[in-house]
Amino acid sequence: MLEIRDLTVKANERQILHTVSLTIAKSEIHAMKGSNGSGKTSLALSIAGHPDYAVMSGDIRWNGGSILDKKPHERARLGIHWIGQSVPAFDGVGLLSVARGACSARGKAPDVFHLRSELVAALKRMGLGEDFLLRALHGDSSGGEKKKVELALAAVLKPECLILDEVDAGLDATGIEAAAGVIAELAGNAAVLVISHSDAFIERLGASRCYRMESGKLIHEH
Amino acid sequence: MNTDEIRIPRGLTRSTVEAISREKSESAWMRDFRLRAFDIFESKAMPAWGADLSDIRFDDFWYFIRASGQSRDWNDVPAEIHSTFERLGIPQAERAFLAGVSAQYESEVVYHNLKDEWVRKGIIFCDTDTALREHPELVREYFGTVVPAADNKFSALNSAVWSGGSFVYVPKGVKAEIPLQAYFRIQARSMGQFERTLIIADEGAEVSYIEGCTAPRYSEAALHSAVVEIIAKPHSRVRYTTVQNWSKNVYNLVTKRAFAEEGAVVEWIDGNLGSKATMKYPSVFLRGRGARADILSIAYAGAGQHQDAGGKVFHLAADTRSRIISKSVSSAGGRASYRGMVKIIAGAENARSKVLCDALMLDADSRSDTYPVIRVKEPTATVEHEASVSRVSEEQMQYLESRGLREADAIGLLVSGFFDPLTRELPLEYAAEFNELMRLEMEKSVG
Repeated sequence: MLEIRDLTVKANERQILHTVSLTIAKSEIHAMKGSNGSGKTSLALSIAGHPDYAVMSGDIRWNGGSILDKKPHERARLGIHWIGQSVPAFDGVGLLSVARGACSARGKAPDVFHLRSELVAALKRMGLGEDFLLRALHGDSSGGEKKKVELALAAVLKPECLILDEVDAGLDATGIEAAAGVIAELAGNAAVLVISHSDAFIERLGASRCYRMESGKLIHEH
Repeated sequence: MNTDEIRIPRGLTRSTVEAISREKSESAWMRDFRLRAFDIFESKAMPAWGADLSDIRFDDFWYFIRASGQSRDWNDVPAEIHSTFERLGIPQAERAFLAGVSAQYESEVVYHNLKDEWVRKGIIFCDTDTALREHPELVREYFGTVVPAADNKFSALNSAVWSGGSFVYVPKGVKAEIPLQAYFRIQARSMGQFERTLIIADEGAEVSYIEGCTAPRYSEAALHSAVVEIIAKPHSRVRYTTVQNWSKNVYNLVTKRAFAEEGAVVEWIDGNLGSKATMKYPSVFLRGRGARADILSIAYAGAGQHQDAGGKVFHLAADTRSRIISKSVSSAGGRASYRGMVKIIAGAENARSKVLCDALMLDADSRSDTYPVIRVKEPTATVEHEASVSRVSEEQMQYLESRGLREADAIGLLVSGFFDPLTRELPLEYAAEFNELMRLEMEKSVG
């Protein structure tokens, strides 16, 4: 269970989140909307443990324990998986290497051939070919393709907490459908927070709760 | 010291050189060649550029050791080397060889099977001392023709005291389908500080040669000064791959040069990971129309290391092509320098050359320098030069750490990716070992 309690966060000497609270249990999908600059991404990055976001007060708890003192890689090892709005392109580093590193970090010594076939299947599910395993990660890919690759990776890693920051942006209609399918499946065993500007996507996911972020304050809509 | 071991007394004089030649029962021409080289060595000053070599004391070294059997005790091998072998999962027999504890890497079966294949095709692949005894005319025809003793102080030193190294001859039109790996052939007694390698690819022949290994090679001797000569005859193709990981007490000063005749292709793939200081600039003289050179120089400079590496190409004929790619990483205060030269003479019509230098610096204490020299005397020639220096991107680190990778593992992965042009060209087992080694290096430097 992900619990955020009265979280106040500062970045660049500016308070950007004000006493934000929410609780997402396993198997729940919660959605968050809000205008640009309202603080949605700041909340996602705070959960992921980005060093630029200093928690002034409040707490972020995962499965009953505070994770405020955990570094980003330690949070990932606890099963918290964040997909950002934009992802960097790599030179010479492929999806398989990152997936291997992520699996090893989570204490699963992966069989490379098995991992490879899982990635190929996940890419296919997202409408992408095997060539995405051969090329450098996110190199020469469109914004939509990057999102699809990230969702394919998440589908293989099966995290227990999924923070998705505008993962639907840039996706075509079939991509939206595939993304919704993967997220719904992962949500079977995960707490999921989806940030999106699309009411249709949120509706498609069947989010059980919806929030709106306004000037760093979280408003519970339903 | 092993009682069967033969050592010529420490220090370098004319009589040292004579004793080496006598010990090997060499013919007069080689003895004279060595002595002339010794005089040149004596007359040349130390290079005033590149790595700091001021600590080298030539009189402190042994110039000839012939070991028989075990030459060193395991207890003499530093704990750091033991630990790296352990973590890389190097098999015991290989560890013993790499550490100089055993005289021979036990891959005899593999070697003998390959040997039958080479003999059937007329390929000669042996150590250079053996070649001098068994193929004296062939050696004499080519030895020292590509890298003359007078080329530089260290080529003179090697010419005076050389021992071991590989000799390869591939007959006309023969393609050596399996890469020749010095690893399979090497015995400690033929593998010294002053290796001399000579490769001759006759017309239309093709050969790929691999030397070195990614695992660290421990050497008590603080000076390694080798010479490699390649003769690529018309329409032949030679690829020479080196992965150097000497222990960090070693000065590694190597002269590597190839002659490429009409339509020939020479590729140098040169990875430099270890040593205290390396000065190595594989070069190609494109002597015939349409000849081609490809040089990939990779260097990793960690704490206390200076890798001064690069490549040189001389376009001496029309329609020649060359490409030099240099990639270096410096971390923990290490220094990596690219030093290269492209020279195109008048008359080398339509010659084309491209030089790409990428440097990655992992921290503010490290240093990266580029010293490119380009001299073009031919108006129809084209030369491109691109250089970049970068640091590890915060975005990439943030992404990888949020996938669960620790800082050292994330940097290790990025460095392996940066060196991907090298690992892609290596046999799989070398590439896997290389990537693991980079991860270990990052662990040491990041902590």
